Amino acid sequence: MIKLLKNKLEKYFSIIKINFSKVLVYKYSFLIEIISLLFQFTASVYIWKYILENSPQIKNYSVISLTSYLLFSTIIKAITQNTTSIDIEKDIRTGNIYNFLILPIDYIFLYLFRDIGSSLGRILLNSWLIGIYGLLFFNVNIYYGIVNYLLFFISIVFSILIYSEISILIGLISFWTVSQNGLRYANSVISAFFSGSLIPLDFYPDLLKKISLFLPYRSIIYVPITILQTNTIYSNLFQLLIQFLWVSVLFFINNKLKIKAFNSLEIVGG
Amino acid sequence: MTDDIISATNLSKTYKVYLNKKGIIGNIKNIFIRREKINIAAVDNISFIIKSNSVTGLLGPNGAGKTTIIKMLTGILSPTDGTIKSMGLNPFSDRKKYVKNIGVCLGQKPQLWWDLPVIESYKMLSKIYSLEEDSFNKYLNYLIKKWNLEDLLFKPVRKLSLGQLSRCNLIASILHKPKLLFLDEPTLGLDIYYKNIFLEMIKEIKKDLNTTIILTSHNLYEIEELCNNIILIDKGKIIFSDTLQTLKNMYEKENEIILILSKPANDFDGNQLKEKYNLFNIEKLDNNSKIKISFDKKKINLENLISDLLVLFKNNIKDIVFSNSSLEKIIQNILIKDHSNNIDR
Repeated sequence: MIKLLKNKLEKYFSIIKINFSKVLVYKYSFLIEIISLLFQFTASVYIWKYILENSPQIKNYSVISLTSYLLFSTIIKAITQNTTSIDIEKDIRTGNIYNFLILPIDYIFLYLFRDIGSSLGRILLNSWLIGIYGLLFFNVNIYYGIVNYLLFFISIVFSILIYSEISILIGLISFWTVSQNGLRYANSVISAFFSGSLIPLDFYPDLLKKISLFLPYRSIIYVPITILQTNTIYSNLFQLLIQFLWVSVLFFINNKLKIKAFNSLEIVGG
Repeated sequence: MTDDIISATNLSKTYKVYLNKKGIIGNIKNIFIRREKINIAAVDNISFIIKSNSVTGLLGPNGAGKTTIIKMLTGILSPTDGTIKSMGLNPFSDRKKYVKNIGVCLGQKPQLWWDLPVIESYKMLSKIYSLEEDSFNKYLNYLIKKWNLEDLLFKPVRKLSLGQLSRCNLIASILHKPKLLFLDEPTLGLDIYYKNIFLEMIKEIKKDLNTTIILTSHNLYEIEELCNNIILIDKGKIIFSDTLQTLKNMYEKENEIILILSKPANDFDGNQLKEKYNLFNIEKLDNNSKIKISFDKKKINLENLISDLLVLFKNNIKDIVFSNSSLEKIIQNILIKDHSNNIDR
């Protein structure tokens, strides 16, 4: 039993490792990714500086706390990014999925652990560069409690999983639609809007805030940052629980969808 | 051991295909109107048995249903109808357990990770198959030494040539010592040199691991070299399934002798000879400097024919070439016959 578990762990650990090294192989591509994120970050900081010129605060956010929010949002974006939905679509379109189905491995786990691996690579390569950039050129507050940081890291693991699962979900839909450019685009727009990556969700009207409670996107960026900035431990644990629930729900949906997809699989030709 | 490793009964697979309307207006209509659906039978009610330790060649023209059969046998596709029992398992529903014991090598889609060195892929596969580290390393070293792959191991897969890639890919599919090995057009695009190395590798693997091999290929030379059983498929149906030797015995009727002459034999008339031995044909080629004689070996006295030819072309023979009808020709004839039968129906 223990041996079985060890084998399973080793299997998925090897996927993490191989994708981690893949990030290092394509390091320049990732550096370019950071540069574009830094541009985004800088632009939005200046917009907020301009808006807040005459009023010290909006909805409890000052220039410093907003800049800090945007910095962490950029870091989380950099870490959680993945190409999974495109890759799954490609697997299906080219029939490459065949190569995964002949391995004794779960297709969803494969991509989940793959994303964990590449996210670890991005933590190593990207995140601290963004952090240093923010610290050097802007007035930011990164001084939070150790407990906050601890919970923040757990929360980020959930963010990675949730974003990965959403991407897998969109990828799996291409079993039926073959191409999913429209869906992917919609997802990226909705995700930017409801995850709180552009502005904190506190700024939205009540209706939109309520809608965001029923979507998983909120858990990707807004929740981890809230956990970092809130000192009530119970509320933080509650947020983690909600993240965990989203991980489970999405996993359940993906599994159901996968079984349905594989039953109707038709790789014509090749 | 001659047990059946795979038995398939009344196997069918139909694909649903949507009929799209043509043209711009048709395309617009496609968006709003439910498209017409038709079923295409890729595999049509076939049954076959594959004996363990055999090498079976799955043959047929493009679109005959070979790949669909392989996909059903590897557990990727579920059959629309019929059952497959392979090593006591149902490939589709017991997929996770089943794939541990099979190896699949696709010529068109290498299994190796594109961006990473070959060795990384191998290590990853060893983990995925949960192989014992020591025995895996031992076996890998053995394979590497045997097939001179030392230089390739640390190259990223995308930088390998096709010949190198296909060899590495074959190795990847046997690392876990599968009991059943599927090779789907493994030599696609290889030149003769690598093709031969590849065939040699497959033979050795067969010897080493004692696996059952199922091979699809368009290259009949390969089939002849490797296979002892043949399943010939056309339009989703089996038209022949037996040993290679039976196929040859049943259909090999045409043999050929080509005489290459030093001086053109302009006044040679073959009709007399043709009647005497009941030959199929005598042809003069290349400005009468070659003579091609085709006949059925079993029906004539070969010795007499040759001595007659030697007398006829005394002092004028540069070379004599004998040839049996090739497997290619045999299969071509079967397929042509099958197609004309279908038209009759």
